[in-house]
Amino acid sequence: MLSDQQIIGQVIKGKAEMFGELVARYQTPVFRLAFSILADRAEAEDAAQEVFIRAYSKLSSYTDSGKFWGWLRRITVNICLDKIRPYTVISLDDVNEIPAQSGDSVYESVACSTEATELRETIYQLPPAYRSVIVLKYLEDMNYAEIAEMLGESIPNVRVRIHRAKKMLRERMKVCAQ
Amino acid sequence: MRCEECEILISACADDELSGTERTEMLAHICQCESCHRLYEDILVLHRNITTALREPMETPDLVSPVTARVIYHSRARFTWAWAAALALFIVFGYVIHKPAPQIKPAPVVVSTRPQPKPVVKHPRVLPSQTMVATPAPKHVTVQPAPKRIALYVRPPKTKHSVRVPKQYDIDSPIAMDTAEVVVEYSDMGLAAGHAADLSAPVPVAGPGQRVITTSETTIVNGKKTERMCYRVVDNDDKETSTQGETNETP
Repeated sequence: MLSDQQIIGQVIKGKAEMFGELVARYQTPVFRLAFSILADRAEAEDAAQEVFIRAYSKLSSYTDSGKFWGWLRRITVNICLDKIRPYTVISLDDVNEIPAQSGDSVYESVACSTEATELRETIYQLPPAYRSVIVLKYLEDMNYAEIAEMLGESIPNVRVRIHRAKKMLRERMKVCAQ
Repeated sequence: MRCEECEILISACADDELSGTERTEMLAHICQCESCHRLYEDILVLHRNITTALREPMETPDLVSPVTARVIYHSRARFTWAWAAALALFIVFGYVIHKPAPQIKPAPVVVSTRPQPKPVVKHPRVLPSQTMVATPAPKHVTVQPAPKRIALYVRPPKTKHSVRVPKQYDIDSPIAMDTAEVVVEYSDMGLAAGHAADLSAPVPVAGPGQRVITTSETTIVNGKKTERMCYRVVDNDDKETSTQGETNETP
């Protein structure tokens, strides 16, 4: 079985059909990431195709200093953020629109939500700016610094945005439980 | 620490993104605040549930076929464009290589032994140019049957434009002529009119018992200014033996 580097080398040498092997390997994580950020299946499919096409066109600039998936993930996030960019501008005052936390525990509502799909649907209903940081943190397991670097924001801003996203999730899950 | 500040720290603590000091302050607060302690437990559970929900198996569409088709199409298009660009470069390069260079005609140096009735300006439309004609004495002047030696000094011009002089006329070497009928014509295609005077005209040198008479004449024909310098070598007894002219044309 050829490694990613070997396949990339052959594609650069002119064997374009070998790129299909890379697509087969990474289509699932790319589509999952795109779908999680965009929350739209058709749009995610288009974005995933665009990711691979852009990766192919820029393959000669890829250096094997890092993992191929890291490079591909950056392309995926950039393309998805371009699609949701008009919706990602969030004012710091937006937190006021979030209902204040009540004293009731939502532990049970979350814990009893055995349907993970329900929580996932709730995540998809978040505003894109909050959804993207949640996806990068909990799907891609990126730390705050990596997220801030990828989104072009400061680490405190990412920290606050993740906190607000979680707060919104807790509120909405509590409403669903009721 | 206020509860609003602690909530942000609780979220970051669940993500393991707190510094030691922040973590200590947060733990100290939740030990005293029951609501924040409950929030901390909720956040930990939410953290696990979000990870599970997002990583749940998902039906993935087949991207291999459409992407491979587009990639192969792009590859062929890129190949075609590369060939087209190479062909265009080849054509342009070939044209540049084989482009005929502008020909600079060497300035003719004509030595004629035939008598000429009057000075003739060669190539009047070539600007700037300089034509110098050494003519024999006018008809009314009796030319001595004995050949006179007229030395012509052809010096290199002081401008960057070169005046092509045939090899038989060595630079800075006297040319001895055994006849008084001498026509020397200079032409410089690229010389500016104002620099025409920089050319060193062949000036007759007076021999023993001779002297040089210099006259100038300026005419304007069709907006073209022509300056004609005439050098005459005459014997001391006023007999003309040679006439040489230098003409500068200025548009």
